[in-house]
Amino acid sequence: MGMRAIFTGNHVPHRNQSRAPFSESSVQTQLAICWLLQSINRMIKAVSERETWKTNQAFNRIFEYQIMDMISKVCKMQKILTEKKKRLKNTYPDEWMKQNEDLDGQMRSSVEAAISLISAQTFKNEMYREQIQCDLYSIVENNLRVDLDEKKEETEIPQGPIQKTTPQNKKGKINPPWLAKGVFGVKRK
Amino acid sequence: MNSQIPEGIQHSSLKRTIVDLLESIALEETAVSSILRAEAGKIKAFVGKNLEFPSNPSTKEILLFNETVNKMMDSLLMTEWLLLRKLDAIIQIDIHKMEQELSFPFVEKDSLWEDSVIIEESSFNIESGLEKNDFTEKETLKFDDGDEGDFYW
Repeated sequence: MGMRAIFTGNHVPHRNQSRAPFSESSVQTQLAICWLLQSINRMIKAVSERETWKTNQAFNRIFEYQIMDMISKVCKMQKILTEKKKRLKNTYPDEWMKQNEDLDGQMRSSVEAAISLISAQTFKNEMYREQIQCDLYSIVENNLRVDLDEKKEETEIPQGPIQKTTPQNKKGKINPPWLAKGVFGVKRK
Repeated sequence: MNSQIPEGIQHSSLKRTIVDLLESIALEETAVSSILRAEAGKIKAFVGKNLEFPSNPSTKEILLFNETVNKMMDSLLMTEWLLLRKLDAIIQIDIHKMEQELSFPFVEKDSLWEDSVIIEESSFNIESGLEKNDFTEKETLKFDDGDEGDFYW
């Protein structure tokens, strides 16, 4: 099997696989991360509907911490997967396969569902909530795109006074840009 | 216990070896993705189709369950990280350079002779400060192709 076959799958099926190893593995991992995030979403939803959620503060706190930990790991996994894709793309540009838009879309919708679940009504601890939101935004804004550097050049941020244009929160602290932009660049209310 | 090289196809090409290493990463990643999928399925089964927790767990049991999921995710994350490091190491192998080095004739008589002369001369002038006349013994060697060389002791 040649170098190209590892990436693109233009070869005789290998060990009963219909696709090339790298094409297959990146699709499978992306799907698995997506399903894991969906399962975590279900867990949050199910626990927040339980009666104990409203009464047991100690349980809430530990549960919120555990969810924060899980989502942080999901974020790191996504980051590693994208890093792997980036390196392969840079090293073997001719053999590289195209980004799977359907999978990215599925991941984005899972992240969006998670963001809507992690609200002030469900997650009481502000620190955990902010950390989770930060990780979730980071997945779609930085760690999902392989061609991040090329896009950055296209949409270069103009230099100027940052503090005047950056929105501030109630405490007067400057919000990070991802908070102002929302998930897909749409300004949040 | 005798250790033996496992039977199989012997790969001689460097490029082929790199392809095999890349393939090994891909296959391991597929295995990791299967475990991740199983973990997602486990959570789904625990929560239930209608989010009713079919096993009727206590709050403590829910926390314990989350702990196991977290531990497994931690291990898988480490595996992913190691695979990335392995990929880094493979990518750094310069195929063309290594192939050139491997195909380059190891020792050529003429180049060996020229190199040795250069080393001798530089050591005379820079490092030791000695001249050729400072050496007491001289030996002239003849090579098979008729070439000659003087050696000083």
